[in-house]
Amino acid sequence: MVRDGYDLIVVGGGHAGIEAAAAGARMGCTTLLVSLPGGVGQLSCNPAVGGVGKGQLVKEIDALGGLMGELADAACIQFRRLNTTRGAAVQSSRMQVDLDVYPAAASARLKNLSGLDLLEDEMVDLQIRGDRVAGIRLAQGGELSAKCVVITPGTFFHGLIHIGSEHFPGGRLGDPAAEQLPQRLQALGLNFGRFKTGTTPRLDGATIDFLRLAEQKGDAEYLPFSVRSPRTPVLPQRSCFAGHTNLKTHQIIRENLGKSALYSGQITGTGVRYCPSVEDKIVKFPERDSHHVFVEPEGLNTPRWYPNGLSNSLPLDVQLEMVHSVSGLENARIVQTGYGIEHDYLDPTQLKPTLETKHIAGLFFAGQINGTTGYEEAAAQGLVAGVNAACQVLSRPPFILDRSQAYIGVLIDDLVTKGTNEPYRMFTSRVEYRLVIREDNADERLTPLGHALGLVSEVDYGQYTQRVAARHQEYERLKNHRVTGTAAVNQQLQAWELSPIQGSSTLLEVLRRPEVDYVRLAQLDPDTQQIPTEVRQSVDVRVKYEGYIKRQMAEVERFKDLESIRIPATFQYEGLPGINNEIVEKLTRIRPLNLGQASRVSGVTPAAIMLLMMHLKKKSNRG
Amino acid sequence: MKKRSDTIAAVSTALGKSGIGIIRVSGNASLEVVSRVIHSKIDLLSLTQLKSRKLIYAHLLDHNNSPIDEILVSVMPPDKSFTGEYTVEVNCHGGIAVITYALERILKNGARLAEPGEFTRRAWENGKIDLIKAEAIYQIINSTSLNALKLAWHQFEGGLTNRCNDLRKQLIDSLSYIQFHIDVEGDNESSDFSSVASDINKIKIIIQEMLSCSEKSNSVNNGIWISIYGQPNVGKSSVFNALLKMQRAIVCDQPGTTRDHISELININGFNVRLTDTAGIRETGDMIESESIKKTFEQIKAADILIYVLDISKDVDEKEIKDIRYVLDNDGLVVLNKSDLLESKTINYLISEIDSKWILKVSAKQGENIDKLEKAIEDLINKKFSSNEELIMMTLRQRSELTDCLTALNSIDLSLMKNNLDLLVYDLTSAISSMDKILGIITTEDVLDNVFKNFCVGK
Repeated sequence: MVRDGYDLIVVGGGHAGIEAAAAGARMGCTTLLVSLPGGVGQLSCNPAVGGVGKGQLVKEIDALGGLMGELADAACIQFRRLNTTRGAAVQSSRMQVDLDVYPAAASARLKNLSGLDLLEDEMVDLQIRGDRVAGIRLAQGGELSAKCVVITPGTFFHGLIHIGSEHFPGGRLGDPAAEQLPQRLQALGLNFGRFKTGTTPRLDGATIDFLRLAEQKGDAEYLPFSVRSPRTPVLPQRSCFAGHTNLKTHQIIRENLGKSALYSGQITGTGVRYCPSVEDKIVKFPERDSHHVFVEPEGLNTPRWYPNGLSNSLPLDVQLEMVHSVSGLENARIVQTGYGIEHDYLDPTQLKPTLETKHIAGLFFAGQINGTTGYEEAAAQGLVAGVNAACQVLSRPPFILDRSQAYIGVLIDDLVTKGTNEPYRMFTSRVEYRLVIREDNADERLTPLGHALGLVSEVDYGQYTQRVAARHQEYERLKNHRVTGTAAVNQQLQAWELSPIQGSSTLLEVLRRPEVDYVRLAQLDPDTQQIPTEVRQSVDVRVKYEGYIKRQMAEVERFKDLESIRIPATFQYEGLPGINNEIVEKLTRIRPLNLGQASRVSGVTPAAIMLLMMHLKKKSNRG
Repeated sequence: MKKRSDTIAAVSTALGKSGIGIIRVSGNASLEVVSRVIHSKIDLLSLTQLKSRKLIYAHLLDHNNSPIDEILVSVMPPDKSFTGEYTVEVNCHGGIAVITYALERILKNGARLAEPGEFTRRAWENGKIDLIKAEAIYQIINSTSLNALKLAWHQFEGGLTNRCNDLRKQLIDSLSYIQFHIDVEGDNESSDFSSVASDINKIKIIIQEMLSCSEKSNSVNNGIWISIYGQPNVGKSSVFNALLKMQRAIVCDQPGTTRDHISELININGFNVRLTDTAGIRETGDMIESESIKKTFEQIKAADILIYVLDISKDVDEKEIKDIRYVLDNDGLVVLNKSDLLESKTINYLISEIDSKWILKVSAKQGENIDKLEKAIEDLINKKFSSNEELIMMTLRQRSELTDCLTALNSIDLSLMKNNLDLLVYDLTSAISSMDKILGIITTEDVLDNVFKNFCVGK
């Protein structure tokens, strides 16, 4: 199965590794994916894909030709659209996924990719020739040469699992931690820090009293992540259930804080601020006497349920007492203990925007190792690393998305430019131009790029152009068709407490009213009923947000001004007149590709950027 | 392109005969440059590790190395200097020849002539001052009255900066709250945004107050505009001359003598006052005069304070009564001129009807009660401009950014909060970015050029 030399070796079969390996192989590189036995596509934490900010990432991965959207669709047991009351630009999709089906689908997809070999082994060393990566050494399989290597170890580097005062090395509960490789990489000059994350205990569904919890069904309307997936769910759909902690729960936690690995001082790594452990929530929000607990199914054929909101690193007996204090979970049996895990992360400012290390050519890092949290953040990086490794092998220019193009662009720019001092999670609010980069237009933003890379097939690209045409056609229809203010129409408007139509209005004018959505429009204009949901979603936002979108597009243009002033890779900041040493040191370390990125390096002043601009302009005038 | 770390020099005091004149030299090589043109017991080059400011007695040397003036040289290390660079100030005697020669010697020995505002610009670039402070320095230099100086100093001390920082923080708090409910809470929680709405409304009111307050401050800074107006031949120009204490305007019995309005600056109790004499208002067929009257109306509209002049001996008509009421309602003064003549019946009746301390009998020609008139003007100015509230002066740039901020906040449709938080965030972000621009957190080359171009060389 395994050949002698590869274009690309991807190490780690998690969400980052899957995308990196698939992208490399599909772009025509001979690719090997090395993972631990059973290590492909595991959902180590929450059995869900998507969510606010994360759904956008999945849509973008899919638009570029990545796998995550399809895999989630294949394993979906509940679909919901979030933030429907918060505004069209911040709406996100989220799926509960079956924890057995998801990895099975991932393995099946990867096995079917030509040019991709799969190997179960552990990488223990890196081979270097000059300043370039030359290959890897495996625990069992000896040495393999490669032009590029993408490392995606997740939480496995020096992973340390904490359950109460107990702690032991592990990459994930039941899996060994990686010890040799991180030491070797450190010796090569890469800097690592420590982060902490955690997961909840898993409960036996047969012992949960669901009647005492509030049922949360999925949305009536199913919208798959991927344009390539069937339009209806593949698997039967399931509900989630909502419960909440109470004063008793909080008291149990407070009394046992000393036993928590997090609060006894045993864990020193920085935790995820926005996905806090339950101990964190109790300590940081003492005024709240209740927190949500969403009890989520982990699959169709497993008794395991995931009580979202109870992540902790308390001893098992306290975990049990805490779970039992929640109404509906009084008799719940814990089938897997909750735990905290500390792990190494690579300071991501050591990476280029391609996710290649600055120190060692051909060596890429992607996923949680770069200081992020979440499957979607990992997958997005995996895709970018895989594509860029392939570009390097194929002598093609690097593939970099900017902050105005995609959430992926924001994610990677943030990581490599600013670094992170806590596990980085994607938020819509990190995205400056989120009115113009939305889930509904991910394909328009990225599919042509994915097609050019060779990740989007001709057939898919053909369907994409048809979708775009359908949106244009619908917009034109709205512009040209009119609704007449007949008695029936105006009666309906009046029933919605809206002003009547005098004479007639175009459909566009009617839809522009904030209170009128497509469902209402269809009641006023029967032809509208035939417009499919995907088209409706996309066109509705465009119509309603038109003025804002126009203004934001103008801002994007201004943003591109600085972004388009490139800084040569060999540019010498040292000795540049008027820029202080601290800024020189930072810019020399980060090596921004352009002035825009330079302006986002922390501590770089507007004055310094102006001086740089003048200097770069002068250079380009000369040269 | 200019080299930013090169050493610049300029005369920082006004050129002319004076006790001393100061040449400021700033940049890495400033010690070296000045050491070449002076002689002193202390070697300037030994001061590169200086921690505090130092004053050195020295002699200025001519090109043959002979002493030509006795000088004091102040040496300031980067963290103790205005520009944030090594700065040397040469204090020589204030004669034109000596200052010019000293500058010439410094320029020949490695410094280049500073551009207008370049010292201040370097101070900003090196993080010694923020943009508002830079603008305040300009305002201090250009203050011509005590009260204008007070305003500029307030600005320098952070008057506007603090308030903008405060508002910016409040806006960011509101923004964060909303972002939190989009990104973290999602729509799992039904949230209450009424506090955000009321916060935004409060901020809008504050900004409106700041803008209207800055109009007053600008008057104090540029001179309070007092216009004298009234019907022809009531003696406006005589009142004008009496207040000026000189025969500036032509006075003649002929109605319509004053055609072009005349303005003069006077100082009343630490306030600069721009006193304007206007053409008398009447129906006329004369083209030039009617053009003058049009101008008069513009003057009346723009004035901070109005002085309405009447002839005490003439009967008043309805039009004049209307004018009197208007002036009194708008913090103005009514002057009954020619008090040496006999009061007309209607005037007599008027005074008994309208009892106001802002109606004064004056004889401009005889100089009668002019002191009382001056006192009344002073009282009016104090009433209008010496309020206890914090006065904030703004430059055109600052005003226009603050206005943009208000516009962005005004375009927030609070009813959108129900289901379009994303749009609300957009407007809020625009408002914050206007604040950032005022504070110089975001800035473009154009803005900076504009800020610094008004400075004189040497600042």
